[in-house]
Amino acid sequence: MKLKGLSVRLYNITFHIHTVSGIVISFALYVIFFAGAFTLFKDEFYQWENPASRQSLGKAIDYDEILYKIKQLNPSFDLSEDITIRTETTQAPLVQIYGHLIVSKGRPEQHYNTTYYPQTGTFSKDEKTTVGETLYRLHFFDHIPLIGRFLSGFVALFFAFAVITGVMIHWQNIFTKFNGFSLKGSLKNIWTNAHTVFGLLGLPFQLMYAITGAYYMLSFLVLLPVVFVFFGGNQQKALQVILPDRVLATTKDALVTTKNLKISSLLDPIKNEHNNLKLQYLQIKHYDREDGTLLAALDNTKTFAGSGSVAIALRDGRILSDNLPGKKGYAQSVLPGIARLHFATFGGLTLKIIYFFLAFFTCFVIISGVLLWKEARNKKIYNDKQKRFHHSTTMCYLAISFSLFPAVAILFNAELLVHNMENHVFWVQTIFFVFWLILTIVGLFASTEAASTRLYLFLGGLCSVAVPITNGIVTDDWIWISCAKGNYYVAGTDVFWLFSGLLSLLIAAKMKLKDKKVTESLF
Amino acid sequence: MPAKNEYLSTKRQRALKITAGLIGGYFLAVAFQMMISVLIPYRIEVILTGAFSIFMLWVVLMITAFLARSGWMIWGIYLFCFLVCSIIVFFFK
Repeated sequence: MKLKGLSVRLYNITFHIHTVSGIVISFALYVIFFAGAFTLFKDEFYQWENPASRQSLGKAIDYDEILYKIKQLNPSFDLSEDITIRTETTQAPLVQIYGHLIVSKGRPEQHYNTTYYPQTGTFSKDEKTTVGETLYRLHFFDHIPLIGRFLSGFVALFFAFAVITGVMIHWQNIFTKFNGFSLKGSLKNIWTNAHTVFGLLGLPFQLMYAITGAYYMLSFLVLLPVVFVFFGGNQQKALQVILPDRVLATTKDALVTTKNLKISSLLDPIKNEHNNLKLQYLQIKHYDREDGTLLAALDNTKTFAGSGSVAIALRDGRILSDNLPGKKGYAQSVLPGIARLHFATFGGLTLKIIYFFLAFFTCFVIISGVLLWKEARNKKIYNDKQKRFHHSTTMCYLAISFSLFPAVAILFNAELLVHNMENHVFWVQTIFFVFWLILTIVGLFASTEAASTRLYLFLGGLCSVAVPITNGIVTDDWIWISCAKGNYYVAGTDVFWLFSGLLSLLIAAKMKLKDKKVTESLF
Repeated sequence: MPAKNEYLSTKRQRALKITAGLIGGYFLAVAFQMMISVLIPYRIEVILTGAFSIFMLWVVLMITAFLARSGWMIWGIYLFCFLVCSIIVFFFK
């Protein structure tokens, strides 16, 4: 079945802008999708990266006690300022507290963050681990100062551009392309088919990520004009109207009180009433004042519209606003909806695994697009200089993209290998980026795309297999021991790396055999 | 298989189309969204929808800019539409 296609002129233009936008963003987009795919499981592998947290949740945690303890340890902790508490989960059984220090009037605000380990009752101010955080920040280029975020935002926007122009190109034969995958024909045919088929299979997923990604990094482009035109440039006023559930008003001169109700006594009735909802975080304003408020964000991670929040007055437990699931309108659901699509938090682990595979399909579409770009230019009308340029660009892109696989495995290894070092986060990140650079340079010496792919599969395979071994040696939590302990998050992370490592080594070995046959048949 | 050059535009036309798509497209997308928000009685809802719809519209306008025959023409069209939207926003806000 054929649909009406573009005219010759429009087809050529669309084709050209698709190629140019695609080739420019390709390796940046690969990095975003690759790092992003791992970031989906940031919470799930948290216990792996932080051995101190490998404990199960004990009895219910008393948040008031935590705040008093912090105040005792650090008298300049400001109980009247905004405090955010990220509550414990089964994945990460610890409590993170983000607050402020008391500063004299007119001085800039000072932040105070700390992590509470409920099993030992201890606090730890330093950031102890970084794998999840590094990959998370890498996926929006946060390590590039100033422009990194905008850069990733525009990569996302041009990704949307490439996706839509891609659909326009293939519109006419879109039904036959859907099952047009074949490994026959020339290299160019194989890459073309792979690019089209996987592009089509992942189309909704890719378009969703292009748009939601652009929103996260470029939301100021949408919000600024609104604030400027409708609210006369008053950002606070705009936020109060647009996101009323996030902004709770307090007055500056409210009286200090010690009679506010306990947080747990306010949370318990809500938890009992909605036992399918899990606590995500708490936002406290004026904890020790008469007009103090508590905002509890709760979530049912098995349904799409399952997130919401409820605000309570600390003085008498009065409900100030109720935006729990089922009570939210469209306006309160748009931004949480975008978040759920982007972070895959509405269908449990299965959904995340589907997302993970779709993200790798996308990586494959990107790489096959680059290879196709090169093969399509392997023609007589291009002179040698142009052909060398096409080849070296492709090799460079492949090196940057594929070396990320061993580099991420090295990142996991490094986290545990330099476990108790001073400046741990700095060293782990340095190891990651330096190795990524070295691995990229190594790959540039490969002569063909196949050789470079095989090299990275081999290196990536070795580094991956090393991950569970490193974990076993450093923490004694070998896969079977984690399983016996029932710590499936740690065991799962190890099994994933072991499996992907063995698979990569197997593919690398197979590739070698195939190449040998070719050379043998040649001589 | 690469696109045939005879269908692609000259450097100057290309510069016009790129700026029309990127800059004109952005302002038109935002102005259009705002116009809808003042014309129908769900202002906050429409503004929040803009979180994703503005980016979609922007991308579509970027593509249309390239499909146009003349870069001047598309700049003119975008500018005109932007002005119409802005006037409506100004009077109905």
